[in-house]
Amino acid sequence: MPEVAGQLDSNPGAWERMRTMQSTLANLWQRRHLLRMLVSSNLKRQNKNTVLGYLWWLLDPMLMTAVYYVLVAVLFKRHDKDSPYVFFLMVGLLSWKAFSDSLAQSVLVFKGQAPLVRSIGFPKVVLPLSIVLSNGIYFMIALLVAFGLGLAYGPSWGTWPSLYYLLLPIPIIIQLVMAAGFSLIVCTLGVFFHDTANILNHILRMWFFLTPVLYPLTRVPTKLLPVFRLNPFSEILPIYRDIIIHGRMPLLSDILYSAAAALVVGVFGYLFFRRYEGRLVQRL
Amino acid sequence: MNRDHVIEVSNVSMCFRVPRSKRRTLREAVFRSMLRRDEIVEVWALRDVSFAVRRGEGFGIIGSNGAGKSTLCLLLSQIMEPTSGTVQVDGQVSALLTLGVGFQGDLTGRDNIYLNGVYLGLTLDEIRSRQDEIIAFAELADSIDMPVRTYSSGMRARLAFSIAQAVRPEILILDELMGVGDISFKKKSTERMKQLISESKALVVVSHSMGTIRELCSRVVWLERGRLVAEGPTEEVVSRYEREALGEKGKN
Repeated sequence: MPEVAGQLDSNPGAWERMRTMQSTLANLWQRRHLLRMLVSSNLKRQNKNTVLGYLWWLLDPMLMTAVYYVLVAVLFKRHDKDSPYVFFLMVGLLSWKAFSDSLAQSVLVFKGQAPLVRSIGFPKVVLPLSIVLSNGIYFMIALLVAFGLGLAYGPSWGTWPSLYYLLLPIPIIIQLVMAAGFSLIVCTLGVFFHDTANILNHILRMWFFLTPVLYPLTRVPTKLLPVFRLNPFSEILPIYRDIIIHGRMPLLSDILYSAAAALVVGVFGYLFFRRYEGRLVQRL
Repeated sequence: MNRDHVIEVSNVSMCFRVPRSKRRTLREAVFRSMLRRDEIVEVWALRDVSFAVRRGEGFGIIGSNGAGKSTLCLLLSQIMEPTSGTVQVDGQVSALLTLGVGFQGDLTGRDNIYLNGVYLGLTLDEIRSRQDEIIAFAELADSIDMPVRTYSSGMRARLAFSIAQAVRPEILILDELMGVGDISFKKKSTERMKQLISESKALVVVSHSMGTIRELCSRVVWLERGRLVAEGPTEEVVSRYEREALGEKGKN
């Protein structure tokens, strides 16, 4: 097929990119020990310095759960009665916390580690990835705490225990891939534009209210629903709630949609990062 | 690539594009692109540099401040890519450009051995089996389980060097780090360096100390303002460098 060969010849860049992309994924695998150490030293460092340690991570979503519960369920009395609203809130807030913290911490990671990045050669992806993974671990511990509280709460906690709990890794992996994709994008932007952190702060706050953390998607007017569904994070929370609160099979459409969204975000984030990785060191 | 060579640098140029305005915010980027192009100053740190490092040799890079030595190290250790030209390296490179940059002050010395070890490319098993050797070499047996922020700068430097020497890479690149610790530690580390050259494929040293260069290197390149001035056997190039560079300074 001479045509195809001609096309490939005229575009050697694509082959080159593919080769380097593969080699970086291979690099990352080679340096998996580095990623593991970074995560464990993140956890160690954050918990050594403060008296409350890990509780600081947990405190924020728990306080917010209390605040929004009082606001929505006690003052406005507008919550859905088909599930315990406290846990409805808690699951959403914990998941959002892990996601948004990953992004917020990734923005400045290269600036914070500039001397290191400039003097040791290692695949730079590990820095944002270690942040995402650390938050993922915090999140999983937090889910255990939520389970404990649910146990104390008593019989109205859906069907406890449920075999569907075994499906929990699915939304967790989807959430981590999505957080990784967005983190790779913001950490790159953070190097090139100094005010990315400020802008991200505002974006995250608006994003929070447009994500069905405080309300179920069923509350959204049908006309606006397509817009809300554009939010890649919107379909992850129903998966958690179906599994954890109701102990039932999550909707397959939710899983497929958010998995596809996570894949798109993850691959785009990785390619975006790869494209600017070479220039990153110079800009620090 | 020639089979006798472990590093081949061919026609390498490196250009840093530095925006004239220091601040770079999204707002400025938007306005600049609408109104006028951002003023960018091109700084050529290296221009058309070519040389090769042979298997099993100590190779020195010398030149005055701003000659492009550190940029060259960044390229050799593949932290940056050259603007044009190629850098080919045959083997696993470990670059020690600044000692102890990866230290986390709140973690103990032992934790930092693990953290820095993996940064430099060791696996966890390798670190586990070498950590006693590292602690002994650093002479830190008493304080290894204390947070590194409590260390004196000499202790930090000793620990950093000891981790670095335990990496035993195929190609080692060193940028100015002979002045570590007190006299006895300095002697010990220089001995260790020599041993590393004999064990590894090559050692590349950047230094302003001609004593160090003479002791460790068999061949040298001399850079000045990003261009290669001379390449050859150590004594030949170093003595010419001492004559001309010092003579230049004498004139000023």
